[in-house]
Amino acid sequence: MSILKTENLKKYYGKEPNVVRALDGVSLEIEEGEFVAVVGTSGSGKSTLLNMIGGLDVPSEGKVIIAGKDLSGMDDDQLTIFRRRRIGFVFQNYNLIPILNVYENIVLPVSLDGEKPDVTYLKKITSLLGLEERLTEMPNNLSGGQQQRVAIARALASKPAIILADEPTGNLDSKTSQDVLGLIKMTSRQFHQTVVMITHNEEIAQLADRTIRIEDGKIRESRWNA
Amino acid sequence: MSRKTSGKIAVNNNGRTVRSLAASSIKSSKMRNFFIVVTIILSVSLLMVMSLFYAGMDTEKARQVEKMQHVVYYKLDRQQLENLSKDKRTEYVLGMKSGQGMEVDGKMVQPVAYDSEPLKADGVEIETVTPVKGKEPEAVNEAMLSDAHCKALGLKGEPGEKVSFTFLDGTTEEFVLSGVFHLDGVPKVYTIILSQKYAEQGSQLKDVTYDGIVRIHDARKMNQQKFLDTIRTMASDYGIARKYVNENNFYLDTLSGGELQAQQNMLLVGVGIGILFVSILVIYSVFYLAVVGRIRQFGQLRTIGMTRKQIRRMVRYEGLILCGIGIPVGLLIGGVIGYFLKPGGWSWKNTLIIGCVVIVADIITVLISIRKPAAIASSISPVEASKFSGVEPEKEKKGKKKEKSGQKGGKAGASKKLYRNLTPMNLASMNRTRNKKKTALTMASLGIGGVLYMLAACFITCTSLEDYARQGPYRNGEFVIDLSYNVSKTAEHGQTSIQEDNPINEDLIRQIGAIDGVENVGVYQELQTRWESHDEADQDCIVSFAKDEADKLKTMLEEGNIDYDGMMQEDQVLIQYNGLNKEIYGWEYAVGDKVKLSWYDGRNEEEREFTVVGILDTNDYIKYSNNYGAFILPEEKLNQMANGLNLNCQMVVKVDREKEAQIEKQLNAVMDENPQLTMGTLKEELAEGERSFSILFSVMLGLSLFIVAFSILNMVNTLITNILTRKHEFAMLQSVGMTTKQLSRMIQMEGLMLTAGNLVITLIFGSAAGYAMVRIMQYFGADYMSFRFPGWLFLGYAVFTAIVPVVVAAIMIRGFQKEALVDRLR
Repeated sequence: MSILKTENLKKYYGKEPNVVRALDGVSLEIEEGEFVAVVGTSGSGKSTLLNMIGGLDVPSEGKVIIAGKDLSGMDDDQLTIFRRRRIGFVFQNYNLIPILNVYENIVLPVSLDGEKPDVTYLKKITSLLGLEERLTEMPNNLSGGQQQRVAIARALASKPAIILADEPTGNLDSKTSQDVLGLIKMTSRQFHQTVVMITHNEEIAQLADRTIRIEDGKIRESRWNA
Repeated sequence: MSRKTSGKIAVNNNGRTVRSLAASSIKSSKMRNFFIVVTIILSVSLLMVMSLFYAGMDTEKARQVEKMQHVVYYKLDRQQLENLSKDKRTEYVLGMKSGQGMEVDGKMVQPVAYDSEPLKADGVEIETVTPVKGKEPEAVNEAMLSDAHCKALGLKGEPGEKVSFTFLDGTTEEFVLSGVFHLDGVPKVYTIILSQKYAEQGSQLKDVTYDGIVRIHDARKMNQQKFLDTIRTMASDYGIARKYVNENNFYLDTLSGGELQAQQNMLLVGVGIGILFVSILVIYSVFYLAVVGRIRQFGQLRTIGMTRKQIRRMVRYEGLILCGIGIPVGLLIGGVIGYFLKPGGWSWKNTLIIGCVVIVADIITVLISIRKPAAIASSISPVEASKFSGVEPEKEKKGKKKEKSGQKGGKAGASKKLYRNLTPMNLASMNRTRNKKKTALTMASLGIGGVLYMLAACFITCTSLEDYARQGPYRNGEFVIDLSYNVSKTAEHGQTSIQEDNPINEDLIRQIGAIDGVENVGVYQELQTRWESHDEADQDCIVSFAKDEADKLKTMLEEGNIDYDGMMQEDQVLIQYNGLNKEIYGWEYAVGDKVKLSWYDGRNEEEREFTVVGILDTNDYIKYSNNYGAFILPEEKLNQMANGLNLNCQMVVKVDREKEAQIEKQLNAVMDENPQLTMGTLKEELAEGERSFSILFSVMLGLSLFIVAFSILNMVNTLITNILTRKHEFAMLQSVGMTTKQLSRMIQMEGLMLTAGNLVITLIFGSAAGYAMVRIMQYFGADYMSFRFPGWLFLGYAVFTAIVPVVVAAIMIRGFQKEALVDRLR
């Protein structure tokens, strides 16, 4: 069963004749539990695609369907609520809230939903990500790799339908990058978690189950990695 | 490149670059500049207005007193006047005569005549009365009146008009209007200015003694004591009794050495320092936030080679550039308001001096305010700058050295609790810790504004205009009926003559008591007497107390004792107004002193010597008894002395307030039937009080609102900067699922927490300060003040300060919602 489906997704900026086609008719399907890498050069439209899928931006045309829900019919607040319940984000610059400690950052989406965090599940995640000792630390005191782990834990905390990772290793050195990617892959397996990761690095993309290549706003290739 | 040039760069003498960087930074952040400039304008104009107002008052007073007498000597003959004018100590001597005043339609009318030329005028002029129309009276039948008086008499106020007056002795004289002078408002006494010829020949003035209007040389250089000594010595040199020396208190106040003056100066300096302090708080916090918001930029500048010193200088330049904009505007606004508040006291010299002081004070304020932010800006290392989030790490236990923020593995950056409940409200509360110092500063400046506002609010709420109007006999009722002043002045035995056939008799009391709505008619007695003691003699009244009041009166004793029976047997008397004796005659009664009283008992002139046995607290006694006579005797004794005379002199009528208007009409009818009575009403007193307080109230409220505006400005700046600098963070929160509603609730809560903190400060310290102020005012005799919490004014303030953050949050959120979430996330 596909957890994510886009149908003829388009995002245009500006007006004719200077229109920029950031996305130009992207249709794709991703199965539950899949770890997919979207690759492309700078300006290819991969980030735009991720923003559309994550409900951070609205398409000019086309549909995004996540876990059977069509995002195009939702208003701003509905999108926000959908986001915190069904989508986990991992950003390149971590986007942790500086006034909250590690644990609070992790449970924030759940708390904003007015829910109690699932403590056993959280223990599992944090021990898997090696954050058990750091839960009361403030983000400022963590290294980049540690911060990104917190971001991954936060993305997992609400047991989302899909995790969207936007260049998650872009700010990290290669050793740390390997660690973090390993963790993403492991959590995907362990929790049967769908992950869509954006990267411009082919090597990193190899770690995913499938690679989708985007150029000029269109899908040029979709292949399974060995 | 020459050696010299490279050396210059090494010592950072490239100020032009720094200045132009500062200037372009100014251009780029309009919002911050707006707040700083407005703060500077507010602070400069507030200081200007206050100082100009105070200096204006002084200047106006000084200008007035330059044309005023220093002292008036009463009861002089022509020879004494001549002697005064020959004395080297005097610089100006003018003779004048004041005739017997009379009451016409509830107003006093008094004939007065000045000498046409002063006996001496060493280059000084005194402003007596200057005609705005026509000229001063010269002929014996010429008179000059005020415009207000003309209007009251139904005259056109044109020179040449004829006007006649019936004086106290019953004679009617006709005068030709020689001129008209101007009076502001409606005075209590109308003066008829007559000519010198009339003073010498006219029936009303020819037998009246002269008063000498005198100025003395170099009085300006004297302190108050020296001045008083001089005029009193001069009086005794020419055989003028101490009680006939009336120094000009208005002038006296302008001399140094007065307690009042010192207090006023201290108050002014105190308020000024307060304003500067609030300015420092506001400018400091605005700059602090501005600097913190640009930490990354400073980091970049440091990276590309700007030294710490240059950064510090750049921030300082920015401050000075903003001063350059704010100060002139503030000076202008302050100057204009200052001028219109006291046009009579305007002086370019003062304005220039005050302006310079204010400029220096405000530049220093700004430099102090930005010292710390500039130091922060310069101490940022390029690496730290990129990590800066504006969060102050929680401090370690006291005593331990603080670890640098951002240090890995340290305990400094850890929270105490694993998990705090993450509702928008709690998030808001956590955000306060982001910038504790800034929060504290904003709250402090809001608090100072709030406390000042509460002081003004307390003053207004705690001043009861009704109580103010009800000082004196109105304490006991709404209408006060007295024996006519005119009649008692002219009758042979004064007031006692009226009392021989007293209109305030049983019939009248019954008649008034029977009017519908009259609740009580209080009747008070006194006997007019002449007294002699300590080689002085004058007129006053004797009042009385009943035997059962003796114990009550004992509680009001300042000195001595009260024994009713003893006072009946011996000729013993109680005294009040002892402080006044000190002021007028220079001596006070002590227990055991003798005083000779003489009075008319309806048949004979009587005379007896009394011994003072007790001195009463005037304030307490009057409040209790509504008796205004200086001598107090047992009731039976006074009745014996008066030989059965009806001593009633005043009626105080207490009425049902709803029927007041109707009753006033009926009482007026009673007055018409009794020409020997006059009536005053609480209504008139209330109107009088309202007039005198309304200006004071608006000035106080205005000043405090000015300061409140200051602190609100700071609050708005704090809120806006808070929101602007966290745009990215809000986007992060939204990306992980915070709804717009939750976000705006969080931001509003942050603002409301400031409001709440401020309200607690305002409530506690403001009420305490207000209470203290009322107690101090009461101590100084303002009985009409009593502490009441200014509930409505506080509520208004609370609502206003609560609305501000809500509105600011709403506007700001709407503003940045226009930008797409993905853009804000970048």
